[in-house]
Amino acid sequence: QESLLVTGTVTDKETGEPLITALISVKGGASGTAVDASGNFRISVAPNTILIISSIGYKTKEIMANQDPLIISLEPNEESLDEVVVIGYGRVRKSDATGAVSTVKLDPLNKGLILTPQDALVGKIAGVNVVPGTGAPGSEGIIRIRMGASLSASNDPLIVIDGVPIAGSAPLSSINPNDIESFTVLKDASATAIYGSRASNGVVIITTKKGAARSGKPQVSYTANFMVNRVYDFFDVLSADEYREIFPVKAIAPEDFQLGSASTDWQREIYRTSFGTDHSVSLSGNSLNVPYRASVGYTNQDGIISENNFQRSNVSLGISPKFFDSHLSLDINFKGIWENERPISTGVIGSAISFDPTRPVREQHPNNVGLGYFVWMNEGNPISLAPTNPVANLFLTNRLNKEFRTLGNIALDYVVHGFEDLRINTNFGYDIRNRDFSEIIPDNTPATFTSIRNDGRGRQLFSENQNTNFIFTTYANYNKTIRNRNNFDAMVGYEWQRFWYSVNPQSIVRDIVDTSVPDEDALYLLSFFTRANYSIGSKILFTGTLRADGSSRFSQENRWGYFPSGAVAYRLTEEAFIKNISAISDLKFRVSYGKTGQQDIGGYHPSLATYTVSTNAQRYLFGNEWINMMRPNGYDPNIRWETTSTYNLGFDFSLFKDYVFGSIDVYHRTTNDLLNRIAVPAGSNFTNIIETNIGSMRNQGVEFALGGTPIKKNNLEWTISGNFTYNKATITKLNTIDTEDNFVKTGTISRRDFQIHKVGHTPNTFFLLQQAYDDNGNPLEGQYIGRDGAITSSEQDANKYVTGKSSLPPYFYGISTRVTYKSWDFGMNGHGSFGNYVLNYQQAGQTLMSLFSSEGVSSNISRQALDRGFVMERYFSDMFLESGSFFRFDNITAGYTINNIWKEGSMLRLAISAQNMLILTRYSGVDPEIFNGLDNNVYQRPRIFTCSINFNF
Amino acid sequence: FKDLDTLPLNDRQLISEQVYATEQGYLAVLAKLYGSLILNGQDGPDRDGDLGGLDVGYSGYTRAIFYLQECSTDEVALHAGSSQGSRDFLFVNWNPSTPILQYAYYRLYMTIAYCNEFLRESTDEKLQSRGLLDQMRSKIEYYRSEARFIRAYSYSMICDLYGSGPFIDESMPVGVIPQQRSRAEIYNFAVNELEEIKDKLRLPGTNDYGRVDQVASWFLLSRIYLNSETWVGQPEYQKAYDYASMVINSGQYPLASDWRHIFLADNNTCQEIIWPLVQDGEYTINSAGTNFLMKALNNGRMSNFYVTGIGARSWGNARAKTQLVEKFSPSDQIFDIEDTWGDKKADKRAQFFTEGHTKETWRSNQPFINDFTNGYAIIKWRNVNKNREELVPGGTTYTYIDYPMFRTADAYLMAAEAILRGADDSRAVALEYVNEIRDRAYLSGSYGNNISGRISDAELTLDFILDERARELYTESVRRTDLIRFNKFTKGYNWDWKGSDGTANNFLGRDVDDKFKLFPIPDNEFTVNPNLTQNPDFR
Repeated sequence: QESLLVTGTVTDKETGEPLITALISVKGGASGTAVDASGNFRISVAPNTILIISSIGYKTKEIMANQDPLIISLEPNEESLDEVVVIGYGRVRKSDATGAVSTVKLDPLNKGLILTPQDALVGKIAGVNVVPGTGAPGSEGIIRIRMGASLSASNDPLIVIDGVPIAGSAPLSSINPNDIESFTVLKDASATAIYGSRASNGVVIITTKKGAARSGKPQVSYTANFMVNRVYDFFDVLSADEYREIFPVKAIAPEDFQLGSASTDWQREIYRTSFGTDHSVSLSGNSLNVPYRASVGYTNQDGIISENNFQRSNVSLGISPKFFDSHLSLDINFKGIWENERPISTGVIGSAISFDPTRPVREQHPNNVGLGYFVWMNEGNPISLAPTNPVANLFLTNRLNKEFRTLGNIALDYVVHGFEDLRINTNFGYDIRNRDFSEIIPDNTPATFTSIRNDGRGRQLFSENQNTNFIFTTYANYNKTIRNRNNFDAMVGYEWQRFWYSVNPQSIVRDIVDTSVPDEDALYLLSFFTRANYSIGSKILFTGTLRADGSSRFSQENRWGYFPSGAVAYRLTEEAFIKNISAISDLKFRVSYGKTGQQDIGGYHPSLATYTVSTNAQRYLFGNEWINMMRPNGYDPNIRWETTSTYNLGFDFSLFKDYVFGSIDVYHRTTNDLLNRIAVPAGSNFTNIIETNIGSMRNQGVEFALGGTPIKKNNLEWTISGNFTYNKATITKLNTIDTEDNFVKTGTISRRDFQIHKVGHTPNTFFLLQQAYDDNGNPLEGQYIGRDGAITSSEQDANKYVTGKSSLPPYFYGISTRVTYKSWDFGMNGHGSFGNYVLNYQQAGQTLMSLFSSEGVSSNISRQALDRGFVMERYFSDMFLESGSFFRFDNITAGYTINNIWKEGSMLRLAISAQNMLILTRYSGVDPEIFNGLDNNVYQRPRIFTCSINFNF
Repeated sequence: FKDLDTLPLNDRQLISEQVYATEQGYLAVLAKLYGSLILNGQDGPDRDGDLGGLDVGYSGYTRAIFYLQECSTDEVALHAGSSQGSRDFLFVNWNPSTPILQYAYYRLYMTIAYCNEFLRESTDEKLQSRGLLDQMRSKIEYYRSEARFIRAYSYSMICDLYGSGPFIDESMPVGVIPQQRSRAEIYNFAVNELEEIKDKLRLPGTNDYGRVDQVASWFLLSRIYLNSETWVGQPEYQKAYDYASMVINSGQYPLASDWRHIFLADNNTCQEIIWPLVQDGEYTINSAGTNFLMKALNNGRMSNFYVTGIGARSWGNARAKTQLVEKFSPSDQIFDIEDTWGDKKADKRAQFFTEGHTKETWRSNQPFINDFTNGYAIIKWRNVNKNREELVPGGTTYTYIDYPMFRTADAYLMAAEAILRGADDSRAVALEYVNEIRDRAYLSGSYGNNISGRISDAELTLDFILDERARELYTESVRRTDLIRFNKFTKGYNWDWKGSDGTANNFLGRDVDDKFKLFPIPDNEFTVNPNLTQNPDFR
């Protein structure tokens, strides 16, 4: 019998997008095939065969195979929520996912103001705690997935942009959030283990926007934001008049010491109301069957501290042509980013708080000292130990950070001719960054008398930083449907990565020889990986993965690490007895186990015995010759990966046609060979402290996500979603010899360590002195309750106690809601945490003693310090440790949309939103959301009022 | 897979084959052995520190022992550094977690580890295999002896400060966990090494400036033997005396003509220093060494009154305790703005700055507070030349004063003390040694025409020698050792704030537990080395 080769494309009837999950089978026969990543298929059949085209989430269609090509579009099945999610080296239907995977797509109506990609994730995903960046524009948020699996190695998740894993050190803030289509967060080991040695802290996969799949007219989209940033709150210090009243009474100063006659509010001198704009234009479409998208973005933000500015320009271009009957798909992405940042030193925040309010901002000193700004003087000489005028610091220091970055990739996906079940994917990616930093402090500025060389000589610092990272990945994927219902999907691949950096610093001080030294190094990562999926009738799904990673960081003996995982999912909704319950749309159990690693441990050669040559600034004289000394460096020849094992139990559900949907995940994770900085037995190595694989840590958590659409009528829709996470980390081993008394100190400010890691406790637990109080509840200065219960005045470690309070939040949550009524929409997002603690260091440093120093300098103090009456700094008193619980209204937005303004498909939306309007908290400082729990010179997050325009045609 | 074998690309990061390929490489490592005792890292100021997890600024050796040997005694009160445990020193109440304790301990063991590495890499076999043996044959013995000298010095200080401790030498590979040795074993190792190498070092006066010769080994042996009875219960005063007189009689390192010259920027021209650790305003910039001494003992305001040589760049946190000031006659104590060098003083060693300062290190009805005007400032260290001129107008940012690790005057006083303690020579000889020192201090006798400071035989007692050592050597980091040798450290002699808790009016010193004669082994050691036992009564 003659057979016929039929080719075709399956698309979604509503969106026109290729339906990459479709299965093709022959009615009444055994053979079948699946579509490729572009929705295309080919199959050999007898003439007049009926093909059954099915896809989960879509109504099944039967079609006579009597023409070629077949264009088939499937109608979505309203009864099922089914989307495709990106996973490592591939995609799956959400219903087929066996791991803990969450996807965030930006809600165009309720996204708030998103200036860096991290902002989009704040409060959105259970188990993912994102602490947004500080008030400095362009500052990066910190992402912690399940609290992080490391102590001293990096806890940042792996970021993958369009299939290219980027280096841990590379900022995410340079990506224009408007170019991002979706974020997919992989949380459990079943999902992450395919990334092996970099996956312990979870993976964030960013997919950028692509051109339209369907041929059509070009679409232009323009978005603009206009922002006003206002100071959230000032630190409460004495006014100049109050200060004049208090000083003679409370300060220990010589009789003849004179206060100034000015009245300066130093905080108002450094802070301002600032403005920002953000524009983004994109053009996308499909011309000659080549989908394309191009975009240009520009951001210009002034910080609320004077002189602070951030500008970013982005271009991006992507095309996805197909060749040879769609057998070869090409996906080319290119991004270029130019950044110009004027950073400031956050030290000015503290100096503005404490600077004497009776001193003027400007004052003329002889010999041009201070360039017209006030400088502390003693008999005509600047006082080198005095604080520096913060206003002068801002306005006279010229800092500039210029960065050019380009990243991109070319991916080839080839469906083998004649063997269409097999597909080969190859990806070349690159990420090149060039950063030039300069800092120019002119001669005679106040800072030149209090730092640098204390002699009025200025300094110019320059630093050229280059990072060039390349990646090559190739994998083959085989997909076969067996007996119409079971699917087998296997993938095997190879990856090569090179990370290279160079730093070239320069420091110019008049008449001083520059001793800066350049640095350069490279790291290589080689990997093999494989994954197999097997599904039985979409009911029971198995996934197994294995990755082998080799890193040039480690010695030959420890170079290779192997990271396996396995998972099973069981969809109850496929069982007949549940299928008939109409209320239940989807019900799935997931179980997984896997091992992942962490190799981002700082230096590129920690296992190698090296010597460092000293610079010209540290030499030793033999006779007449100054010799650059060579020092053997400490090293650990046995250093290797951290290994994390994770068990995950998950449950996904959807009820009443997505009226309510959600998921619950429970996990238990153990990290072994945890890198910890521990002491070295004295004399046994060329250092006294070393990073080595010594510790263990246990993390446990429960994550809830719940969403729904309580109201869905013609004109009115209300959606709401929220998530809640509980997680707990406990250190189980830390040192070679763990005793009741030992711990590792961390959480350092000015040589004082406020936190410890200790066995049996959460990392970053505060370690402080228990303040003693009098009968009226007032703190007794310098009096503490010792470990034996007696009152003591000694501030030694022996009298400190493990507070059981950590800066890590055990509970955190996010909420997001939106109401649309006709053309109006209102949205709100918020997030918060409780159970975490913050040390108010800024307050602890405020004492009566600091009113006057014996160098002859007077300083302001806070009103609280006056009430407290402490003479000296009592940094370690636990009275400065406060609850960091909070809820923040991230944004409140109101928008109005006009559709079809002049032609079909055109749209105009206007919105106003208020960002960071209110923080509900009992914390006495400005803002308790501080990642490390140490409140010291934190650049506060402003309130931002935004007016946005979005225009599409 | 070759990619995985990549080596550091930075030409400042070398592997040992690159380091030891040339003689210059050996010299550069030898320079590190010396530098380890004065500098604090490989980049300046205070960058790329040798000790991890500690403050680089504090981690220079001479600064670290200044805290241990001066701030725990009757000489110096620290007004800063409380985050590092300076109050524990002020109150003589330290414990194994006191941060300042760790610096000297780890610095000494780091130096020992560096020396061991050098000794492993400089054997004849290693030189032969690298093709350097012929070229270096004449010098390598000297290099190795200097490395052993520095290691013996380090162990002698472990013996002095901590008593017993872990022991490690070049026969043990990197990474091995050391066993503890008793105080006597560490003492014996240091003594045996020094006795063995004393003739292998270069002859007196024939080595490069900045390196040691035989005289340094004699000096160190004399110091160890003098303390032998205190450290290990074995009197060795005769040997102490013999070596001290060898130092004095070698003639290579005569007493400087003016005591004040020893602490100036051009003190490299003053021949008294047996072992100088070299300092330079451009090549050794950091917060350790003499830059620390200068800046800790002065403060900016003082530069309005006399020429410091570093302008007003000082920190001013260390002050003289009243007991040190009172070792000088009342008329010598006060600073005279008309006579900033103290030329009119009888004893030229009374170098204090007193304008606007109280002599007391306390304030009535106040707890101990960081007030730099409580206590006189010590101004013996000055970054100016003998001609009393600054190196540049306004002074330099960092100091040029070489650090006198060993100097001959100390040998004179050791010799005199050894005789009083039983070494075989007459009291008259001892008296002459002491009076030679006093002549020089008063610029009388063979040193000048000022009034004499000579003492009579009746005045020559051990207590007098202890006080004379304070006058001669204050701030040179030998004080704690001396007080312990004279059994006056914990009990029987007290000073400002000793044994106090720092509360108001509690400044009078009192006796403390004898356990403080030793410093405890830092608590970090007990988290990683199971072979160690803590010093008695420290928990």
